[in-house]
Amino acid sequence: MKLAKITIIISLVLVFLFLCNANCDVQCAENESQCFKCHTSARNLIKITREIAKTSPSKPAISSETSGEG
Amino acid sequence: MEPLAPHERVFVDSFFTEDENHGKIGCHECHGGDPEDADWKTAHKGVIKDPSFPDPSNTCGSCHDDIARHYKNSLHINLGPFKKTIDKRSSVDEIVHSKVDDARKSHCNSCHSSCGQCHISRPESVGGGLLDGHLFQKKPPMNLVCTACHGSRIKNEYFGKNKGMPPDIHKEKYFKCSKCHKADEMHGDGKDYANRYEVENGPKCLNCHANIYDSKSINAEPHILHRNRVSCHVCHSVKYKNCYGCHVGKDKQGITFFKTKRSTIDFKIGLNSLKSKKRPEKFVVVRHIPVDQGTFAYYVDNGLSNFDELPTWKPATPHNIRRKTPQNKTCNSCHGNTDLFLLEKDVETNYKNANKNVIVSPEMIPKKIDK
Repeated sequence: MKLAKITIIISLVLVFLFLCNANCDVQCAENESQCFKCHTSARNLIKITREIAKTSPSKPAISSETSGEG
Repeated sequence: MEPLAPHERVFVDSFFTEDENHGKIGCHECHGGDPEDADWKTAHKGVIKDPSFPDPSNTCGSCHDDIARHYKNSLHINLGPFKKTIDKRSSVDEIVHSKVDDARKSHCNSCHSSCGQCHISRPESVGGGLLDGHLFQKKPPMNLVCTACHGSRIKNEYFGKNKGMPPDIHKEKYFKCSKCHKADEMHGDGKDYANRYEVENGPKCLNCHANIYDSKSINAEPHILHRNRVSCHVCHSVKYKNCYGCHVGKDKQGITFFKTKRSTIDFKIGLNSLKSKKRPEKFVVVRHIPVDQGTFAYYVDNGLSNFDELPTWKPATPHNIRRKTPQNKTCNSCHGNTDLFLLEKDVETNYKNANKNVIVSPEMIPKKIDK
């Protein structure tokens, strides 16, 4: 009985530590890196890509003179 | 293929950090930039969009050295056969040749790939953008990577998109490209191959159809009779795409363009110009490739002055295999059927000399069989 209790307690502690660790991966990366913070936020990226489009309109990827099959 | 919205192209899935290998590497370790700078404008200074191109040694190669060390000879990265064939057709004059070579680099070689442009993003040549929030794809998705580049010929053939032509039987069996084209072939093995047919790990029909030449197999007789005489495609592929007269240049905005004169859906059997121990067949299916004497005329006059060194009808492996085809219906569907063979009349006057070793003369066509 005592052994079973100890096993259960250890298992619960391990599960708790695993969940904390998984959550920490995201949090740590977020805290450490501005790249991660920004590139995982669709809202931020939409804002910035609109800003970029306004200031430097991109060239078309394909020339209008392209014709036929490549 | 639907293009991605600008923000979708660079959106990273936060699930990426759960990749126990790649997710533990800081973004800046591969891409550079300043991960502590909250101002995106300054943070992106020095950022490398694709750190795996042209040299993946210090990024992918730091763990996957066994694969990345062959990068210089991977046909997907260096497009080596393009250089070899264009060099062969090119003028030997150094100045002229250097202009042809520059044009090749800015046009033909823009279609290269890289580790990242198959496993993380769509290839740049088709617009780029992350495949799935920067999650690494062990097997690149066929529609967003393989057929995104190999579109006008392979995709249309494989999916049966050429008018009136059925899809490849392997597509109907739900085969993805990677079923036949294994990683070893894609990554290269360090050898400098002249063309893709020489690649040792390339697909072979016999890998799956191993018993095709056994005397007790189905249709043993025609298979044994035609072994090493005709390629599998001669009997088992249907009509495919042929392109003519490609010219390249730059428009007023400096954007590169190409123009091809025409494309046709046709089927032609020619002589094997790449005969080797591996490919000993006399007759193969030949495809007209887009090259033309004036392909680089925008950059230099008479750049391909040795145009006739190589044929414009090139051995081909159309990706539209069928068990039953118009030419294998009966023996005489092919034997004596001059329409199927590349005759002198089928070759445009200005391409005749280049194709002299591929054109089938009437006496070479197998005679009709009386049964």
